[in-house]
Amino acid sequence: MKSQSLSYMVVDDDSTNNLICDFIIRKFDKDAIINLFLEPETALSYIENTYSGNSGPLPTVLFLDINMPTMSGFEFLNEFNRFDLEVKQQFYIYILSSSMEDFTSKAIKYPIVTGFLSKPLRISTLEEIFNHNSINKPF
Amino acid sequence: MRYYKNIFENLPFPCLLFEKRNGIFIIKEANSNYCNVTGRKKEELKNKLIEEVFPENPFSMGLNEFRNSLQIACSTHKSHKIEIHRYDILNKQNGSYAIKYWEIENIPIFENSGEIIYILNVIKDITSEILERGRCNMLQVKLDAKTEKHEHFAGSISDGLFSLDKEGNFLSLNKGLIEIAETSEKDLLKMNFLPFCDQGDRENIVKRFQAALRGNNQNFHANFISGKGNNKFLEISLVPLRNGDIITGLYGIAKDITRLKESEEALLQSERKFKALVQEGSDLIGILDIEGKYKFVSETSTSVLGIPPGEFIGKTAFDFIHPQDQDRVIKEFSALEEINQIQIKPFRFKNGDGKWRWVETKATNLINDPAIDGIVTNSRDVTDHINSQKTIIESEERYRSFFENSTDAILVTVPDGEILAANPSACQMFQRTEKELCLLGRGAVTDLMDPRLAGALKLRNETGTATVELNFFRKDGTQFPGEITSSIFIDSEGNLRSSMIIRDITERKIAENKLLELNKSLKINTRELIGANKGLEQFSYILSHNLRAPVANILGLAELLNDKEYSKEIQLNLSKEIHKNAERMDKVFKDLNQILQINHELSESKQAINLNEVVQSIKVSLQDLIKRENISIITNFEEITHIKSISSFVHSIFYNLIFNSIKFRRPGVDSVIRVTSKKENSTIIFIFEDNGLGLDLTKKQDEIFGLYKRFHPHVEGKGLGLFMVKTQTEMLGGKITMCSQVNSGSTFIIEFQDQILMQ
Repeated sequence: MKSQSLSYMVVDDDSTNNLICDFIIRKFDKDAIINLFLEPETALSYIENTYSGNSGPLPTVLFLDINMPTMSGFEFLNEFNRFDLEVKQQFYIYILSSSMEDFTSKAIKYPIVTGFLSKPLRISTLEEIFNHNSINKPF
Repeated sequence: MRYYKNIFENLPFPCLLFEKRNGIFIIKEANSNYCNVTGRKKEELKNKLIEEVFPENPFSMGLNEFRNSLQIACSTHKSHKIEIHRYDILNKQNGSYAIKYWEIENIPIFENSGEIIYILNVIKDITSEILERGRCNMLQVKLDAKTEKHEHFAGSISDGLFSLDKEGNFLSLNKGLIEIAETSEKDLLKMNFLPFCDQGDRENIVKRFQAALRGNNQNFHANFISGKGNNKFLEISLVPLRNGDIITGLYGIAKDITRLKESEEALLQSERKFKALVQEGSDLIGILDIEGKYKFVSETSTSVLGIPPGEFIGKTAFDFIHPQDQDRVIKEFSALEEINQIQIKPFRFKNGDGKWRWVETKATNLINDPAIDGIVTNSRDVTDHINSQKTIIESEERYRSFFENSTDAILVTVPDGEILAANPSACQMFQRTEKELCLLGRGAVTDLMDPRLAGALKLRNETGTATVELNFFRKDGTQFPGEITSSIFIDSEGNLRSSMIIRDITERKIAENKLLELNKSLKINTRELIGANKGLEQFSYILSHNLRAPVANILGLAELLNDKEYSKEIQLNLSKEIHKNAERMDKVFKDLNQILQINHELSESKQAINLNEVVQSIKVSLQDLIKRENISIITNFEEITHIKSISSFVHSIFYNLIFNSIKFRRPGVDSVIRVTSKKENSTIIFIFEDNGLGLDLTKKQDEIFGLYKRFHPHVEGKGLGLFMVKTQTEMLGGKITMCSQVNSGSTFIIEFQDQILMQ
């Protein structure tokens, strides 16, 4: 499983969470390419610049927070949906929230979201993700 | 005599034939007519003395006059007439007397010897005439002098008796006829009747003559001309003379009514006058004796009461009167002892069917009038009138009762405001007597300054009726709310009137106000509930986001710390992060406490707040920051200087908005914050304006005041300030809106209804 190096993105205004994610992902995959974003707007422009017209696909797991001051996680998704399909196909988006609310209705509204995760991110969670979705993975 | 017997029997008048025997007159024969009129049988009469058959009675003018008349006729050889003879006929069945006036004529019949053995007694019932005359007297309609003259004249003239053969030649005649014909007996006996006929009437007279010869009695009036050429108007009676079954000739009576005709015309004239005076038709005339017994009742009793006149005779009038009316009528009637004429108010009188009819009577005392000797009553059936009157009174009574007993005040007014009538409830309501109300008019009870009055009057003028609420005054000056229904109507005399029905709705108003208050407190409760629910939502939000986030972080960091492979440096860094997140948690708890505090502070009582003082104290608490950043706070509280509200809330709202403006000032630009109070209509408005960063509100409008919502990533804050402002504004009953543009500042507008901040 760990043979393949993946690209990771974390979008959260909470720096502590980003720090934790950085440590955990690194622990799970020491070769991982990790990009941390405190502002969703910066993340969106990064995706636009990096993922369109690139030579080959760059499969990326994106951990997205919901409660952010300038743009919520769902607003981020609305913007993300506007990208070309070839851009979107390179992403596996996971909502990573401290919230304990039920996201069932949101999941229907945002099929682009692969899964909903509860903070803090743990090694076991990452392992679960990859075991579960291995079949669907292009890599 | 054979002839005469036949003639006699067939005479159209009631007749008796007296025979003189030894100087005494004995009834020899009576014809059928006589029997009918007097109610006696022939057998009762034959061979009797007149006084035997008709004994003296209280209502007789005396038989002497009668006997004298017979004597006179006998001795003078001329017929003798008693113009008016009163003899009331006894009704043997009930023992009462029917009032009767008679005209009596005794005509001597000469025997061939010239001796007089028989006297023909002809009577005529003149009761009605006499009573009519009584009525005329009663009304002071004097009969024409001509009438009197005629009576005198008629009294001196005797009727002509004659017989004719089948050709019309005179066979026999009496002195009366000689006088009428103004021709000698000798000549007449050689003559036919035809030369005496008036040209114009001759044909008719001949026809009558021929009809009589065929066996039909004739009675007619016709014009004749006497031997001296005078016009004579005669009443002729022709009766066939029979010899066995064969008619051999005619017997006739000629009565000169020339003068009578003239006087009859005069009488008719006065009759008409009389009839016009007394409304005829339904009038019922009766004559009562002093005890109230009927002596005479006019024929109209049959049509008016369904009782023939005869049934009244001898009965007491009062017995026909309704027991409830009897005493009154008797009392009124007794006044006739002193007054000549009285009007008796309508009373009930039993008719032939046993039903009660309302009768109105005028009674005239004519006891002293010998022709009448009684009390003449003129009665009219006024049942229909009384009934319709009664219906009106009953409906009047119903309305009256409604008027008197209604718990609502009722006024009848002229539309301009004059009061014509007020019911007891109105007097009670306004603490005034009906007299006072009528004197003072509508202005004394209605609040003329009531703004609803003009509209109500307009509505009433347009639609005829209006129901509105208005204020009214009592005499003691107190005011009360009333519901008034006023309608315009036209009374029975055609005057424009209006009714005002007023109900005191003080209690209803109190109840309505109570309901309003209940509603208000219900609204407050609801608002509090919604607030509490919102609080709960916010609480759960805080728990899930703001509290859960540092907890999750601490958990994550702790797990990382367990991994011993990290360097000391990293471990220290992780520990610092744990500390930072613990502090974050602590702040959240403090904020939660502050939010929960809001509900507690709402129970604080309102007080007068000087807006300048509020801003001044904020300036003091933020003085270091204001000085350092060179911030101007400009206030304009000229329109509204004070409000009444919960001081801590107002302070918190002002503090948070001013602090918010300072926090989001635009770097490089001197921050200017303007706070203004305004009043527009009934709304008090506070405006907080700054020249700061501003926001693109197109997306954030509904979230701007949300808890822990932050819109500026680089500015310190936890998104509590505006949430607190909104919560507190709403709890005070106001609302807050914001408008802003990026880089041109923000404006917060807080609005309250003035009564919220003034009471």
